[in-house]
Amino acid sequence: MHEAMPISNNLWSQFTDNPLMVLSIFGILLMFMGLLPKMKEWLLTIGLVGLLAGWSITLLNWENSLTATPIFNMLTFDRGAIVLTAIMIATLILIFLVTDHKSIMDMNHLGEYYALMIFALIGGIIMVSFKNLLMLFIGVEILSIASYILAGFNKKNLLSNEASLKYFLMGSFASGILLMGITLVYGMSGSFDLEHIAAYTIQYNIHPPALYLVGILLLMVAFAFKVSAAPFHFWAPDVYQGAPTISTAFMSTVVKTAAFGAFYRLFYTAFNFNSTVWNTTVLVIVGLTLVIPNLTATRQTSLKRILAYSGIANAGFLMMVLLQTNLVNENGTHIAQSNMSLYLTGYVIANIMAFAALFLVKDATGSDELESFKGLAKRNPYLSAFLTIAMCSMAGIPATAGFMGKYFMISGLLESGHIVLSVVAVLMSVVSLYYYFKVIKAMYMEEGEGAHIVLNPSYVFLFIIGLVILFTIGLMPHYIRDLFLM
Amino acid sequence: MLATYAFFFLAFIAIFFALLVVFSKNPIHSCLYLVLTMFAIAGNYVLLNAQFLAVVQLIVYAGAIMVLFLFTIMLLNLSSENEPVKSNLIKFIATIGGGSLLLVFVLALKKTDLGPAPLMFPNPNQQGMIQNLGKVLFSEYVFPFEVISILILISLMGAVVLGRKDKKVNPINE
Repeated sequence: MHEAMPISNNLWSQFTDNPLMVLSIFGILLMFMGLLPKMKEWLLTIGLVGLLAGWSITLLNWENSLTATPIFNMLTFDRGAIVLTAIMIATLILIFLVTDHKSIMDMNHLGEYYALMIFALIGGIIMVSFKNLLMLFIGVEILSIASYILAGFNKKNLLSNEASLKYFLMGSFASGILLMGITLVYGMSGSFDLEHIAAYTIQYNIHPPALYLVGILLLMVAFAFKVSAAPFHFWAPDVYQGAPTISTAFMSTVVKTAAFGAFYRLFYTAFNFNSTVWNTTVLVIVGLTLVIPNLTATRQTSLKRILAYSGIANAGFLMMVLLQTNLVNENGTHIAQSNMSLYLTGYVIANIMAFAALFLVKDATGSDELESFKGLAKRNPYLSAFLTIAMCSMAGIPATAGFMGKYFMISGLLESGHIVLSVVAVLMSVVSLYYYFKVIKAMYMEEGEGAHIVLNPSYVFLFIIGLVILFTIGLMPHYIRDLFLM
Repeated sequence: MLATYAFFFLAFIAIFFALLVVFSKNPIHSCLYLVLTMFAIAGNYVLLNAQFLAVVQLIVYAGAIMVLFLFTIMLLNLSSENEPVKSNLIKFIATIGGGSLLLVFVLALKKTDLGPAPLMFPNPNQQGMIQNLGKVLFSEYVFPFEVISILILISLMGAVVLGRKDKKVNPINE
């Protein structure tokens, strides 16, 4: 039992096998650089260099990931994990570009802000690559605690304080439920290791012990909370609205990607064999998550809140992946994870573009209500065009990434035989058009006053990259999906 | 046999005082009952041959965390008067929800065959002693042990960032 794990004899491979080491070093570097006032303008550059280094390491391991071996028997950077890691690091690079703005550069504790985001990313990477439930919990905690702090970073703002506290209390409660689930699964299967748990699931497939099923249920509840799926979504709109816009962008993209990666990884690897048992629960959660937020969002007047509800609605689409765990393509490869990665890429990019636009408009007008977007097309035609394309992608207009993501999800659902849910999903997708187009209507059809917003090179780069990715996925989705697969 | 009696005694104490924590009107009393619950749970750890865990439980929970609780309660001057009043509807919903979860747990426990009872105290192989724990921690679980330092780092950083008084008032734009 106490076999000593071979510590890799090559020190260099610790740096090149996965991005964790490089990212940690840059995180600590940024933290200490925050102490030196003179280094303030270099923080963003150093952060971007670190993230690009981590991203390159991830991409260099792309080929090896098909035959990945576990690290210390704790993490496995297989293809699914590498894809999600690459998505998360790229997302954070784009978020860092959004921070290239005067109001952020003047902020207190800027070094810590960047460092916290990078450390949270490390938690996310652990979550998408875990092989052991212990690592899952540590990853969840690193990601969550960093997010609580990011949500409350605007210390003088009561809404931000409320968001942080609410997120902390609810999140700790969910972590408790997660632990209880892990305890029960460990108690029955006798192991934290995903492979052992999977073997146990297969062994007791006919009559799974009731306590084991309760453990699976608790794990599902905890994850449904973390991804803000209904009926565990009540914290999300308040937290998203109260937190600083950059933190909200971070929470609705990187955190969500990590949570879904972990959710899928756990249920696909460990519990897939008795998926018929928990499929009903997922079905109900997905149905609720599609209906409730889409209907609530139609009544919102603040873009930040609309984006929060759209995040919940998208969680409904993403959770469909759990109903397709047995779906295979003509080569016999499981494609659900690839579908999820494709959906996540489109969702994350469109979200960051929307949040960047929201950030700029809010900085100029001081409000995130739809009022302040009125007449934006006259003042800032390019910014409005970018926001429109982001909204179209989220609504699922053809030729954009959002459409292809939804298309793959729903067709996978149909192949798995969930006809009613597919109809609900399509209907709710139509409902979502209403509130996404409310934003476009405010920009183009209504008159309003406001100042011209200047886009600096970082923002132009961000929007152009976002546009390219959205249309690349929208126009050649099968190529991208196979890229994620092979 | 003695271990079984000890288990039932400790379990009774733990549950009894846990109930008192919830039902007691005075937050300081709740806090002190919680200390006793922690002690009873530490006793249960000893019965499960997890001696080190029992000591840590006493030092960290009964010692450090409960003192923090008491300080916070005293500093905020909480008492039964300024306790927020919950509406009856919320109480009703909470009862239904909690009761359902309890029912699920009880039924699942009744239905599940938990196998033979674990080795009770005193167990000659001393698996829960600090020596064995250290060996496992630095061989099999060395990776999570190292990774958890990031968790501690961000907690420290968060405490400093949120707790420090800034000279310059210049928050993010919203």
